[in-house]
Amino acid sequence: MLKALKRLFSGFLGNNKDLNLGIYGPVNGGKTTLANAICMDIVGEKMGKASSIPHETREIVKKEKMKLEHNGKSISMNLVDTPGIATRVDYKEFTKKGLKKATAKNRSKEATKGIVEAIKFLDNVDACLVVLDSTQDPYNQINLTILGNLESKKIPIIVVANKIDSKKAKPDKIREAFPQYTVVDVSAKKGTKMNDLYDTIVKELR
Amino acid sequence: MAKKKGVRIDFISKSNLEGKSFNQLFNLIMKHVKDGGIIVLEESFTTEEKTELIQKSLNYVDNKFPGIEFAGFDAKKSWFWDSLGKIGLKKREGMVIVGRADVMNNLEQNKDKISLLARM
Repeated sequence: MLKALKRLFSGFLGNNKDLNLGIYGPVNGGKTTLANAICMDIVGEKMGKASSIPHETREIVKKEKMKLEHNGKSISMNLVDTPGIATRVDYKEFTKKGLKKATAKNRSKEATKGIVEAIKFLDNVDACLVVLDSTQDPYNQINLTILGNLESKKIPIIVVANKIDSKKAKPDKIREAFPQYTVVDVSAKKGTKMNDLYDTIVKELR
Repeated sequence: MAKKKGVRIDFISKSNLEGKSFNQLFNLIMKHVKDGGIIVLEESFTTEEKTELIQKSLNYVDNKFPGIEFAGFDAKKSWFWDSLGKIGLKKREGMVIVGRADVMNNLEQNKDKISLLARM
């Protein structure tokens, strides 16, 4: 409630504070790949390391003072990439991906801490891109909880149906599962339809 | 006597859950799932409680416990339930199933069905 009021008054007073745009979602949805794609388009450099090993991003990473200009409109923002939300952090999954046992155990510990930090950080974001893997079934408790949480905090949401370059992609399933939100299809990896995303950001979050 | 093998599944009725705080429910859940059981509650959680469930259960994650998996059905949204929520009287209508992450396998859910493979 307080956040919604703050947002309302800052609008009246013409406060040009940069928008804290959080990138949230489950593990391996392509959040960091999307953050990198946005960063590359705006400032020409990547934001963080992306990989197929789960929980690659274990700390909140922020890129400040980014100005997105698109179709004659612009938005000034701080882009916040967050660790993937999960209830399961099993070090054995990392060893299966080739990590040594000690490294895997350490990664598991860091990942667990990172998820808790990411959830706490929800109080600091003004708007969110919720990145979902369009090759996976979207209807699960993690996605429902992330979206429900943002909604209850009155934080504007754009759902990003990522990985549409895959043959298995079914972005319409995301639309069916969450008809109440704006869903934008992209492939962050290939840079496909990123303009549609920028269009939605400058229209809905400005 | 040899210990019987299998996954224990406990179903807890709504009347048994009534009036319990989230912390009481959380302790009940963790007591069951830490030992490899699955618990089904004839109540759901609010969004805030689900977030708390994720956060608090992560505190238990270590090399022997990989965390939880959960699924459930929430009551359909209506102006009535939304209004109750706004005045702090939100009820936990629905159902929730929670288990150890390495016991609840192949968990699939849609709006009408939950299926999983319980592995010992």
